This record gives sequence, structure tokens and C-alpha cells, in this order.
Amino acid sequence: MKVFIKGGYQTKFGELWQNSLEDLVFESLVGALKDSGLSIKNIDAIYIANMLYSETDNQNHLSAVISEMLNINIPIIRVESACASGGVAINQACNFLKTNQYKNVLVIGAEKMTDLSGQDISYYLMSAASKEERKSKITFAGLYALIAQKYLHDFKISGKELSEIAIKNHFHASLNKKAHFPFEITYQDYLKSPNIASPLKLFDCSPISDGACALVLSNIKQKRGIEIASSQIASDCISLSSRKSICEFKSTKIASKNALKESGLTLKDIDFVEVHDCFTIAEIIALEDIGFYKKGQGFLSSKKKEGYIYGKLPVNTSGGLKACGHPVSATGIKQVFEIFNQLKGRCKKRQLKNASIGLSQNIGGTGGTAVVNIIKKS
Amino acid sequence: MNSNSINIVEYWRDSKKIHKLLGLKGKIVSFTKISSSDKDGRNSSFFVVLAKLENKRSLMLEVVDESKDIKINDNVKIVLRRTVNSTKKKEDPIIYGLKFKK
Repeated sequence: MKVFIKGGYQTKFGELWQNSLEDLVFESLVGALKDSGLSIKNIDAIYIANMLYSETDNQNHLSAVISEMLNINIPIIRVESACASGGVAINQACNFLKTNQYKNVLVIGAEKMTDLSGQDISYYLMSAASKEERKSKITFAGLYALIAQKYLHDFKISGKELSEIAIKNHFHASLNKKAHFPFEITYQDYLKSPNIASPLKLFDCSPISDGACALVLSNIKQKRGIEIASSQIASDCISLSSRKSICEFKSTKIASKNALKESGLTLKDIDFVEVHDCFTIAEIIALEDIGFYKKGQGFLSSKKKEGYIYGKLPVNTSGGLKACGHPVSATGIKQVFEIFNQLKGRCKKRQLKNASIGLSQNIGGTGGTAVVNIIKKS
Repeated sequence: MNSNSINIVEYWRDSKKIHKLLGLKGKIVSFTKISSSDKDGRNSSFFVVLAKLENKRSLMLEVVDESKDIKINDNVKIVLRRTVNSTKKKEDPIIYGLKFKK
């Protein structure tokens, strides 16, 4: 049983104070239905990915909120796996469709983060970390700073290599109207940016963004469709202190290995990737964990320009989390939507030539959950 | 709820385990200096260290005395310190917990 992407829609990512979460959900699902040529009557189930609404607005039971919004009674399931919520929702929707019980599923990821102060949102985001980590008063930037500090020490690279990730992703975002920060930055901009958690500076960190993205998935055969060739999840300890190494994510290694096996593809078949660059160091580690670069060499993707849209393995053509933005539960779905748009030839100024297969990697927390999806032209 | 809110039952439960870790020594695996500001815009910074302890377990704690230079592989020791900076009510408990000291 194959699963195809029929259509999708991404809202603008950014500070969207005029929009509530419900507004963003509605905009994205209407856009996805229009893009797929279906109506809500054709949809058999909805997966809604969201991490923070229960904390920020005391609203659980999002499934019933959507039922009321659309006046429907189909199965609606909320998915939460921290920042991997979107990727996990796609995985669960694929599994649901493979049971052949239903034909079309809507997958929506939405997050409202900028209505509150940065301090409050940082506190709520730490619910993706362990109790021990929260008690240490560390922030999420701090957790990735620990990873970066260790990585820079062990592999003898500097902040300049980290800056090149941010510069590349901002370049890609400058070609994406839906990005939170659709502009380029320079190394000087990076150097002048404030320290957040050493060695990470402001431009090493993805922003707090509002936004939503939706996809329509179907198991109805399509000629020349875009197929989700594989979708795999793996998990790992929530605490960094429980892991043998903090410079690799076991969950990504297992999920990517299983995704390649499920799809019958090899790394050489992958033309481009969307990886989870919540912080610049996370992109480097993702490329190494998936196997595109040897340990300690993931920074070469940006340094040697291999990760640019004109390079040999484009990385984060959307602008990544760093520059496109990171409304946490929308991210995993946006990654797959970016790959879908590239394969459909809809990316205009950032369009890749001759791409047929893309891979997305979406993680929760510091790699406690990892989802890898491989999408290809059928 | 914010980071200064304490669940007193949880605090009481966790306080029974503190003696198992107090005094243990370890080596720094990694560290970071967090630059933060409170709601009134006052800037502050503090260090958090991830260290591997002599009992083979790793632990992440705030560091006492941030003025000292911190490097990977430095030695640290677990000490008991006040962990919540301020309490607004006279009847609030004074909260202690573990920190690393170089």
C-alpha cells in the first residue's frame, strides 16, 4: 500500500499576532484542501500536531476544537512529540492509510508561540527536556550549547563553521516568501549578534515563530504522484546525561537507517534534505548521523558550499528552522511540504534542477524522538 | 507557573536522595554560560556543567562561583547550595539543592 501527497499549504511563519492558533489551523487546512482538489467531505481522518497549546492557552482536546471548527465527526487525533510532533503526525497518518480502512487523511501542524514573552515560551519549551535538566535551570539553547561546546572541543572546529550553517540557511530563506526571516546575513552580522549560551550566539538559534502547515495524504494510486516512500520513528533517552555521547543522536541514526531500508534506497539516491537545524550544531550532527558526512566533518556541507541550492547535496532549501522559522509542531510537516514543492517544481527562485528524491529529518527535544521521511517522484 | 514555583511534595521526595550524590567528584564533559534576562530586563549569567561522576553516572547542574575559568575535563565536586534565589512570602520554604563546585 503506497501513500501519496496530494497537496499541501504552509502559512507565513513569523510573529503573527493577528492570528490565533485556530486561525492558522483553518488557513492551512483550507489551503491544503484547495491544493489537493478535495473538500473536507473527502477527508476520512485528521492528525493535528501541536505541542504547546495545552500549556500556553490551557487548551487540550484540540481534536474537539477542530470538530467544532469544521462541523465534522471524523476521527481527529492530536499528536505530541515535542518538536517532532509534525513528523510523527505524518508517520502515524501513513500507518493509518496503510491499513486501507480510509483513503484520504489531512495532517496539520500548528503552533502559536509569539503571543507570550520569550521567557515564558522558553519555560514551556523546556517541557521537552528532562526534570534533571529543568532543575539545572538550563535553557534549550543551553542544552544544544553543551552539545556544541563538546563538538567544537573534540573536532577542533570554531564558531566560524557554525556561522556558515546560519549564513547558508538565511540565503535559502531569502528566496522563500513564507520564511520568518527572508533575508541574508553576513559573518559580521553573526559576530555582532548577542551570546545566548556559549558557544551559541543569537544567529545559531532558530527563532520562536507562529505558523502552520498542512498536507493531504492519500492511498489512492496516482500516476506521476509524489510518494512517501518511507517513514520511520526512533527514540532515545530524554536526558543528555543518560547518553554515551552527546555529539550524536542515536534516534536519527536508527530512524534514517530504517527509512532507507524500508524504501529500498541508499544515501546516494537522496538528492536533497530538510534537516532539523533548531540550532546550527544540530544540522551538522544530523548530516553525520544520517551518514552523508563522516563524524566531525558535517560542517563541510556549508563550508564547501555543498549544501547550497547549487551544491551536490542541498540542505534546507526552505531556509531551515533557523531562517524559515520554527513553529515547533508545524516544522516536521513544513519539511515534507518543501520536499513536495521541490519535486513538483514549484519553488521558483530556490528550485532545484533534476531532484527526484528528498529526505526529511525531524527531531524532538535533544533527539529524544527522531522521524525520517523519504519522499520521491512515483 | 514559572521556574521559581516549587512543588513542595516533590521537593520533599527529592531531598531524601540528595545524600547519595553530595560530595561526589567528577570531570566536566561539557559546559555552557547561559546569558539570560529576567522580566524586568536585568541581565544575568550562570554556568551549567555536564559532568561524569566517579560513580560512572553523568549529571547536569548549575555551577557555584562562575568567576572561575571552566574547561572540559576540569574536576568538579557536588555541593549543597540554595537553589531558588528569592521567595516572596515569609512562610515559603528556603529551597536547597545540588550544584557543582570547581
